[in-house]
Amino acid sequence: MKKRFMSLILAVLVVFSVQYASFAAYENSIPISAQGNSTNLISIKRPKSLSGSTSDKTYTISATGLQNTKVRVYRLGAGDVCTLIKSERQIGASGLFSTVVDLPDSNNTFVIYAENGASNQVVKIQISKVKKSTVDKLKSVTVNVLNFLK
Amino acid sequence: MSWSRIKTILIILFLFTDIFLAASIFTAQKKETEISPEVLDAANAVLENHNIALDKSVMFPHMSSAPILQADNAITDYDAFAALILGDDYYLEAPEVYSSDMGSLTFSGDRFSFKSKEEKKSAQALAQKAVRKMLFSKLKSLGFDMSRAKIVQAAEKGGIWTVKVRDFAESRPVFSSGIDASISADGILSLSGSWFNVRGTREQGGSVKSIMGILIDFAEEYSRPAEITAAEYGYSVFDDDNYHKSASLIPVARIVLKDGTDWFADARANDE
Amino acid sequence: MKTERIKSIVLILLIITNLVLAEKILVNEKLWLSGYNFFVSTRNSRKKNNFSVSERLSMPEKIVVNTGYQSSRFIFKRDDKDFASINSAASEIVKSAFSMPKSALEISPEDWYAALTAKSLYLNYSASFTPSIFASLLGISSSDFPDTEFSDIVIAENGNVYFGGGAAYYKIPFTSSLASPIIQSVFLEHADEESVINYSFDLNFDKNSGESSTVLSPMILIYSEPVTENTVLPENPVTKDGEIDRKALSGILSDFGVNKSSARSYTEADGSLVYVENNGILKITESGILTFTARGNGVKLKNGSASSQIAAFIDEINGKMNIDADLCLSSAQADDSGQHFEFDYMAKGYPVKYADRCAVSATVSNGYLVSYSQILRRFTVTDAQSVSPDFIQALDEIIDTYHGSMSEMRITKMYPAFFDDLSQNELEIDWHIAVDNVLAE
Repeated sequence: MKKRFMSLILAVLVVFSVQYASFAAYENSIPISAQGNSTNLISIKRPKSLSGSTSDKTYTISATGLQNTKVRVYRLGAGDVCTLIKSERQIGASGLFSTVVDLPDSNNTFVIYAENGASNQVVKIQISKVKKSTVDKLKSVTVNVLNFLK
Repeated sequence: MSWSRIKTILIILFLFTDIFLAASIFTAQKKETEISPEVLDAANAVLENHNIALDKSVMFPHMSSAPILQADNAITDYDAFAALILGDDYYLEAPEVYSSDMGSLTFSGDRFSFKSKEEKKSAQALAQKAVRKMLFSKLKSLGFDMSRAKIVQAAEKGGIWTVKVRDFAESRPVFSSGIDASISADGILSLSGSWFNVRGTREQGGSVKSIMGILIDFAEEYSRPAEITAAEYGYSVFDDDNYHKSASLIPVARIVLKDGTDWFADARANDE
Repeated sequence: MKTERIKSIVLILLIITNLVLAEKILVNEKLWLSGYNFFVSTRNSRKKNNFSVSERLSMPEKIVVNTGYQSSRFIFKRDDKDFASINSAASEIVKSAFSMPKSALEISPEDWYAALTAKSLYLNYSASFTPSIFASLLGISSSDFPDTEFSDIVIAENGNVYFGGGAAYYKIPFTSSLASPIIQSVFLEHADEESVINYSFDLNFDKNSGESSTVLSPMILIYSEPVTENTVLPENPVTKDGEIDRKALSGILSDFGVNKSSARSYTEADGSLVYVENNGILKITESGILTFTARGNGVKLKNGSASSQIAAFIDEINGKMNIDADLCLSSAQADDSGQHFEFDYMAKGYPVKYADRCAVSATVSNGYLVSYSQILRRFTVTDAQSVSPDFIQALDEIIDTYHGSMSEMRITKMYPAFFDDLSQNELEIDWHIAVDNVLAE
């Protein structure tokens, strides 16, 4: 009887700690293979296609999301581990989120981790650095394409 | 040339200059005070055209310039005045209508009207001197400056005196400071009117329109036949529909008609 | 020698009489020739204002230098030392471009955004103008321009001038060599700084694809860092010891047609001072709010266009009241009842906002001032610093107070500003947020 009771308590404790552990586990880093269990907590507005290129020193990532969703930003470094670069912020009543990230390499991968209650979402974003002249050429192509499609 | 001769020459020079200066000041002032016959005739013609008659006894007052006086409303605010007249146990019956056991008090802009609840008992009339004393001391207690006030009308009938008090400033009546009272031996039965306490400070003011000009303006605006029995200059706030905590008293002309009505006009000449 | 003595005495008496009579004439205006008063003309000289409304009428509220990089965009406020030189080059380009008839071509929003993302100068105006009103502010004539309202102008590196206000965008093809050196020098001067400023369209916050979030107007500047600024102390120049100081106001009475020496004035129950004259009613409240309402025609203004007339009038009032503050035109509209203008005070280059009114509002009709209202205030910059909330945090707080549906909420304007509640307390920098289409609480 005592044994069963103890194992029941242990099981309850394990269940609870798993909930917290999932969050605590990603406190300072997150593996690149991490997956979330939801896709509608946040929606990345910039870069639209989840990948972008810029000749700028920094890049502003923007997103919209559900109120009270907690968001953290990580960057992929050596190995397959992404380290925390932006500590947790909570999305407020406006539903808007934006953060400015540095671009130390020519190819940078960022992981956005969002959590709201039991749901969580992981989004990967690629930003590459290009020369300014290339960007201008890319931009003029985009503009012309849009005009054509109209 | 001796000093003596120089003095003689200077005396003659200054004498002529003084005569010249004195003459120009005198003629300039004279121009303002007189109403030339031509102006009088022209004015009469205009008045006739508008069917406005001038009573023969009408005296044409003269006022060449007037300062603007600053005055404070003796009614500092409605509640405080109600307490003074009705006692501390006053209550608000309706907007601007106050009551107590002593009587009722109504306000309208700068004007007030008080009626006592006490009934007149004795038929015996007071002497006018006593009436004046009672009224003046009462008004003084209400915060009215009576130092230049005068009784302009007083009549007694059946023991009740009907009295009109008016304030004066610069030797002219202040039309915004007038109280109508009815008083019996038992006390003050009613008080109504408005009052402004004139301050020592004043603005320089400017010139004042001639009475003829004002009568002509009146004739043009009052589009029906009338007979003017009196015209006088005085001071007024010139707007008692609204309450004013303090106001400037401007020179005005008062025109009295045979039907008993009186009309007021802004007498300031527009310098611009 | 007795006669000599008598003569001396007589002479002295005559001289004294002469002086007395002469003094009577000098002082009594009515005896003068046609109204000239030497003493009055020296009394009326006043201090020159550092901020002349007349000279700053067509100045934008701020200029953003876009260097082509989103991490280095620089905002120049009206009080920045480099603002004057940037503005003078920009206004030269704009004046020439707007003087070209039939030159404006309609463009797509994408072309507009492309111009802002590339090297350019962005002139942001508080007010929105029609091309004809804008031209009259610049003192030029413009013809055959589209019937549109705009509050933003973009000057490309090569001199092309774009203007738009959200509804439509236009381009005036133009060439100028003035813009490029400015953009280049600003970029080099601030090469070590990081100044990340995004436009709402950069972050796609101006489009809502079915999400439950606020939509921001495309041109709203999104600051990545909170704004730090000195606090500002407002002062009411109208009251002294808790009462209205008539002496302080005596200088401006004549501007409203009130003859100081024969004015009809009242003090109302709330302490407001009212002057009633034939041409209008002038009222000044204890909190320093001046309003003039014309009766009949109003106050005749000096010759010129309506905007220059009102600017000169404001400069006159401010000069006499010793108000040395920058005033930025925030609205210029014309309708059948006349031309209406509104202005905001600027402190440290940011607008000072009031709850239900603006700093100055005026209506001019046929060369007459028909109505005028000004919150009389002087501003002193203190040594204390204030920091605004974070941009998105401020947005969250304001949205929280509205209980309507998010899909119906749109932020039309958001920028740093001071808020003055007329209590004369120190003002701290905050965000001014204008929300459109909101269901009331």
